[in-house]
Amino acid sequence: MLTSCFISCMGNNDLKVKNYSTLLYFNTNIDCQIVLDSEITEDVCDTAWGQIKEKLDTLEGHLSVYKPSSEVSIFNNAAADSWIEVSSDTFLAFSYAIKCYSNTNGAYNPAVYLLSDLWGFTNRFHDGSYVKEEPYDRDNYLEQLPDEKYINAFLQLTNFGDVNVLQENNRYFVYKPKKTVVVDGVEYTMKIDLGGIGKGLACLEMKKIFANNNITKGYVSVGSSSILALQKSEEDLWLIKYRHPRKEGEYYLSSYVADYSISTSGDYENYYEYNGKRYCHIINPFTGYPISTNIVTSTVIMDNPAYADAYTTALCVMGKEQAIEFISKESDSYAFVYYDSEQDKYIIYTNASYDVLDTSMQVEQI
Amino acid sequence: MSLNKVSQEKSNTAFKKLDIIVYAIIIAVIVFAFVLTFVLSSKSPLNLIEVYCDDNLVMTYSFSQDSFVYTQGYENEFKVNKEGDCYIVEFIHNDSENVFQIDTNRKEIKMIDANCSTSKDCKSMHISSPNDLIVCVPNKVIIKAVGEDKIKDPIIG
Repeated sequence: MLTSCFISCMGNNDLKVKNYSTLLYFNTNIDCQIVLDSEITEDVCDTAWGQIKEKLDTLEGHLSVYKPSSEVSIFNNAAADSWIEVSSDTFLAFSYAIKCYSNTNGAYNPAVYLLSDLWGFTNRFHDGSYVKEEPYDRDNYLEQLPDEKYINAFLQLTNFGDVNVLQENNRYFVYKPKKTVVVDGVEYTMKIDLGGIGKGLACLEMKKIFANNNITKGYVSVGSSSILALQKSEEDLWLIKYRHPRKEGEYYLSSYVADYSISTSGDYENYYEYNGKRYCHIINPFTGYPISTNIVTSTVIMDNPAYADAYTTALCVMGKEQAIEFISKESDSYAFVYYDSEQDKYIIYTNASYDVLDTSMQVEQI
Repeated sequence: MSLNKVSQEKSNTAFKKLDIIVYAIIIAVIVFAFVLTFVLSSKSPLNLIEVYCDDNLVMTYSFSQDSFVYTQGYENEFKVNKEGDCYIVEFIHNDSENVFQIDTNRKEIKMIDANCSTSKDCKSMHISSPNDLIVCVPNKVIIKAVGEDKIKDPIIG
């Protein structure tokens, strides 16, 4: 018995791995760990990682809202009521986005880019380059709220249901809706951000590259909010720990996973406070304001990474009752944390068997 | 010797003080061996620190040699000062600035300042195990603790 205890302590830590990291894509860190064995050598890993970086480069070139030459930027700057020819990658991203929009009744909505920029959550506010350049910019975006007239105007440009896609003779097109608004003499059209779907698509492509290289063990973490988990070993699964949304350095959930994708969204990832209220980067497409649903974080374990990020974002927007209804119909493993202000308590609603690490949190099984 | 005498002898000899001490030593050795195995298996020595900018390796620090090596072209972007057991390393690249501390005694690295807009996140980061990373996304800087690559479960959120 003692010997078996010793062996289990040493056990998995004997697995050799190769690690990779990059900061060059999707404005976030992408970390990869591949488990080595007799067939999966460091050379095989290096080859796969090279292919992954190539694909990430391509995807970012098509989908990044921050690259002026990307197809998403071309869409954003295109005239209303126009068809834009795009690549198959972008067509796929739009197709996934349209499906997620429909499945969540609009709670997931990528057409909130203007609102996101208005509230101060786009890149230019976080890379140190912010200067007032748009008519709606404030002197100090952390000490003033946006002008209501812009919130109402940009809200009219969020009807992502009017976006359409077309495939014809191996060519792909996306339709930009005709709605425009004019504020103080400046015309605005719909602008989208497919960042979440883009990261999900990147995970999907990485999954294919791993399979093509016969790599079956390892994981990729994209910005620490999405994980593509392959297998860990013959005997073990990956133990995923979920950062606590309110207690820095602590975890509130854990789960054992292999061959699935995991995603989280939350109001703690990117936010500021004004007059004692938290304003986070998740914009409610129905109100034009950052979410105030008291859902502080959500998570899902599912097969298709392209949907995962979109659905966790949608859950945060939905609010408690709709989120419970949504989860109750789903076969994938969901959880969200709701802050009950009357009881001053955090409650985890879930349809799965996560291990709860914060015992002060109540658990409600859906 | 009669049976009574034998049982008396047995009761007199069982669990004498010396026996208790021997058992205690054996248990202590077993516990120590478990703890040692666990600690050794979960932590491996840190050899190097690597600093990346835009995915390019720009600097390494070796604990064993106590020396810094700079990639050509980046030498003038680093300033290093020693304070006791710690090196304070300032890296200025274009307009971005990151300052981190290397504790050569405890083999710990932490970010102590950055001019990025998410510096409040950077400044809370410290690392001490192989493959741990400090990441400053806006400045595109990664500080990596390098030792023997060991398997590590991921964290999300």
